[in-house]
Amino acid sequence: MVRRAAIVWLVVLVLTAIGVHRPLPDSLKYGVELLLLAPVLVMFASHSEVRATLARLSRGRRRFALVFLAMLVLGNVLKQHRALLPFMGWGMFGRSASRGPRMVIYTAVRPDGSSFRFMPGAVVSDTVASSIDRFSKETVTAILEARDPAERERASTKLSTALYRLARIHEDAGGRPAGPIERVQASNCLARMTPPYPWQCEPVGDYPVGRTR
Amino acid sequence: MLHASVSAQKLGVMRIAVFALVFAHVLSVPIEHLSQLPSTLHPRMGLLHLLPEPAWEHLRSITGLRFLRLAVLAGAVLSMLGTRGYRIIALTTGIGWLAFEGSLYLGSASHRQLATIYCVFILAVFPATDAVSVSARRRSEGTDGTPYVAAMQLMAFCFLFTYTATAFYRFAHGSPDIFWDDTLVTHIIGNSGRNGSFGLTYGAQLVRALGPYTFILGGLFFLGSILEALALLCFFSRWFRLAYVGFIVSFHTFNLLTMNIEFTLNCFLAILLLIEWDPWKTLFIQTRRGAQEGVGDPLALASSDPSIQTRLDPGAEAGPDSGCGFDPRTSR
Repeated sequence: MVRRAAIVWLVVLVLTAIGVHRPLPDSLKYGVELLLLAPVLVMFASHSEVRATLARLSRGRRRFALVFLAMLVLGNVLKQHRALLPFMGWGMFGRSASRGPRMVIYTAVRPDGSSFRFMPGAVVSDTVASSIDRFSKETVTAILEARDPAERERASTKLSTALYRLARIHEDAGGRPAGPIERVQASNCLARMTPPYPWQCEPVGDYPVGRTR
Repeated sequence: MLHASVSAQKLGVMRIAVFALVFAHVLSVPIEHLSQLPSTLHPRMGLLHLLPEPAWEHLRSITGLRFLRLAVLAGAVLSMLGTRGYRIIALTTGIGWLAFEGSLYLGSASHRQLATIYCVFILAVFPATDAVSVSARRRSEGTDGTPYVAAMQLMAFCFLFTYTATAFYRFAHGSPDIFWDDTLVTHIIGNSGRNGSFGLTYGAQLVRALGPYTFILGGLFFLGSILEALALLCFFSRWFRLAYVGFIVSFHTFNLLTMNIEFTLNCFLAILLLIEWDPWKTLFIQTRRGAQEGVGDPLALASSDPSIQTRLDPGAEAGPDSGCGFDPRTSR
């Protein structure tokens, strides 16, 4: 059983590495992912030491271990990040992304006119950076591309409110460089994918974020 | 097999190490500031949906987040100590930490601390306070250290699975294009401009320095993904897992320097879970041989394993006086 599973796994891995599955539609690629995962799980579940350890555990701990593993695998298969946290799909850098990256870059302006790059992700924890970047891209896209002026206005207000709050957090958390922020300028930037990979930015808006705004 | 023999002491030290990581991480994140963000930026995620809406609203207030942070810090300290009521305290700390991390995600989940979260829950359920704790007691289950072995193996499996699953996704959905087009260069350039804590731009500098040879990065990406796919081989090969610790540490260091992506806790976990250390054996067993009794006693455990005996006590065959003569039993 273990040998068969190992052979299946190796064959599927080699085939995917050379791209035999490339013409398949996206939905079937989840099946390919399962074909990679299942043999590994079979190999583990068939291993005599693993089975012996599980058999010797008390019923409660055995159940916990099995349910925990099942959740881990199910979370990865279902990929419902928001619903199943902490059992999530693991899929970083798995899609082709050769188009130039995009970033919303913020410049904070102090009352004396001096400025610095404002990094919202740095105000509390780097973990929030990705979420704030995603939020920034969504709102900036709406500001730049929405046909309905009301929708554009809503997105602008949303971004302005978030930047105001982030500027307050920056000041309260003693962010560096320290000092009050009066305005935050947002720019929508795209990197050109030819050396030297320059960022090309267009201004999106200038948002007053001072405490007395 | 990885962790074929685990002492109560080893699991105890693992408990202290993992909760120390939780403590250090939570201490470094002033999460209470997030209470200022609008609620649209701060939705509930995953198991946090089990909280009623008013409780979530209260939790994301400045008082709630401050309380959450303090509660997780206190829970981590008590769990490190292994006080009475450890299981409840550790489980509560795990749930609290999940809420803490869930609050940081702001609607877009991150994988960063998940492996450590899994370890916290596993340590809460398995008998991690049987040794090296203020409420140490003899284990109540079995006679062969199975719960300790199971706990370490389960943690190692969950940890390694996160790498394997990532690689499988990559091979199933993006291979081979992602390795040979500009995908990695795009990620490096994009993340060099990321609005994060580190602001490192080495990635962009590296890509520029490589000029037309950026395919080297694609090759490294491919090799790294193959190694990630093979992660679970660590269970069966000692040399592979030692090499794997080096791979994980250098992989995350490279990601931090070039893409501002930080997985510090995973580097510590790799060392804790993949290197077969045992503090008790390291400290005492070298000088000890032939222990006869003691259920759950690491001395007995080690003496029953000829490979450990031979490896750690090369003079064992020479006679009863070999070694430095320290015996933790007789010297009490």
